[in-house]
Amino acid sequence: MPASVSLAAFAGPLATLRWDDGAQASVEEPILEQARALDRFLASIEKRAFRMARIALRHDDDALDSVQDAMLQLARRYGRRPTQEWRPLFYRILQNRIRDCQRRRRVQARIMAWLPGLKSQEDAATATADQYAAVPDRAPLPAEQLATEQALQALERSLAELPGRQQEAFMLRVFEGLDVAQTAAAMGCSEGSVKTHYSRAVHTLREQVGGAW
Amino acid sequence: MVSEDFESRDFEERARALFEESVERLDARTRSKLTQARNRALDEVTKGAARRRWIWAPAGGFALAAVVAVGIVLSSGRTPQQPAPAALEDLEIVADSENLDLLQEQDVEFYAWLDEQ
Repeated sequence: MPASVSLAAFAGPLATLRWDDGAQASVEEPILEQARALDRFLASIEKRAFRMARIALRHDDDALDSVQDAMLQLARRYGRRPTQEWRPLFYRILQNRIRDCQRRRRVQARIMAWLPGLKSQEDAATATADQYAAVPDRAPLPAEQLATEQALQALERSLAELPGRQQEAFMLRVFEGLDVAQTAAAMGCSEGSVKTHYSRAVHTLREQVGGAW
Repeated sequence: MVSEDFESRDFEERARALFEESVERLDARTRSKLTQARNRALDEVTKGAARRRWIWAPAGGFALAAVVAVGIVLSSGRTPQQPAPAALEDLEIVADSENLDLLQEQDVEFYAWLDEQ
């Protein structure tokens, strides 16, 4: 009898403990599952997103900042949305970040044009910070790799010169493989506009780099 | 027209292949920075969930306080109503000076008679 009493006395708290753990686990499981899904999604697109931002901004750190901001915004605002909506949403945020960065640069360039003294100081600081950035790598590239590298550089140069919307349409359709509807959602415009921007972009790029390939 | 479409597709495929190659050749520093950025974004998911839980905590507290307050008001409204009639009757008896005088006179006579016995 005493044995059964003591067993009952211990069974109560243990049962409660188990229930609490189960309840906590059931509350946190959807969050963990969401985090895992977001991890898989971001890992699948982060490198391409960086390269696209790099082509548009032509600056590594600015491209990294834009991608990081887009990741944070997606997690913060749209993490609970269905996973199939993430890709267009992510690229929409990224394109907005890229445009913000380009706008900021234009403003800075205008200010610098008014303040030539500041500009020369800035140039001097950049030159001091990275004196060897422009020095080419001495290791010789194999011919094939060199040809690929040159073709890629030609493509990036031409892409960078395209109007912003054409550039976005081309990169989202060709590099990211979005369909017209997804591209329209990412760019925040109609499907007709996407088709127009895209066809103009392909036409211009083929004229500029097609021959070189 | 057909050849133009074919050339266009060919151009797109070549562009895609070049782009994918450049993605594969990303340097270690950039890859590491991207991983860090991703981890920061994932932290935001768990922090956001915790934040949402804490946002509801004050609301729950207020709701509980409101329930307790309503309970107190209802219970305090009910209890004084029951003893009220008895208390009023007692007050009337005590306040009635005639009854008190009569009672005092009767008692005095009784005690005088008792003393004589």
